[in-house]
Amino acid sequence: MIDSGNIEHFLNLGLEGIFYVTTLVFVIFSLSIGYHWFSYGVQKSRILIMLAIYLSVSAVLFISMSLALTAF
Amino acid sequence: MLFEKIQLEEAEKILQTIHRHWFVVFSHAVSIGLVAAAPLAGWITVSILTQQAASTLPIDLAAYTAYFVFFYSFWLLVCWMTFIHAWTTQFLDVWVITTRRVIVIEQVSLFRRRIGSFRLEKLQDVNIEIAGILPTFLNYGTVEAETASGGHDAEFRTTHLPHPRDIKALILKAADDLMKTHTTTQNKRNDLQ
Repeated sequence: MIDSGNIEHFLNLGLEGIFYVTTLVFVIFSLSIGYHWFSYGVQKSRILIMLAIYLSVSAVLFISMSLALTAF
Repeated sequence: MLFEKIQLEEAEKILQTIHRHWFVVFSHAVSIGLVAAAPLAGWITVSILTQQAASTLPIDLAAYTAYFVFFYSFWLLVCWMTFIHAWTTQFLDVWVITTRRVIVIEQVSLFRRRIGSFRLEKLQDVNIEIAGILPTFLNYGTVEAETASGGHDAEFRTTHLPHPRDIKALILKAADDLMKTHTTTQNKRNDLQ
């Protein structure tokens, strides 16, 4: 028997799965981006500024995702 | 960093490092921004419509706000990573002009990189092309260097470079200076003999 409680439980599980997979992809992507920036970049100051912006914006989006996840 | 990887010769100096024009990144940002904003516009439209038809449509959109926030943050993160990828491939496209060589680095994608270089002695001609209204006003275009060594026309060709006329002038001046140095050295050798 499928009731709404079960559907909600599986939905939340799926959303958590999406969150963790996204985090994993983000970490791999960030490491490869960082490697490219620091290996082949020219201006270190510009790279550091971009890295700070990149991580700050990403942190805001991750916090927003995790807050939404706890609200379910 | 890149300059540690480029092994400069003795007395070789870097004259200029040139990245692609800022407009390339800006156009990427605008298109990705529009794609990023689309779900929000859709959500606002749907919420207005449900408010207007509240009597006939018994949908409580507020109950789904948490889901929307989650998926929209996810969507923004995907768009943000796409923009960073675009910025990286543009930022790592570089022309390095030295007193002896021109090094052309093209980051095709994250794991595909093309590096070419030619010595200024081999330079035959530098062609530039500024085509269109925006390139004319913002002063960017295509720079193509022809060398004596190969028949690959597009080997040293990069689009969207800022100030193409200045780049051409700089390369030609560097080549002329190098030729003058060679001639002076040769004359000194001849005098000694």
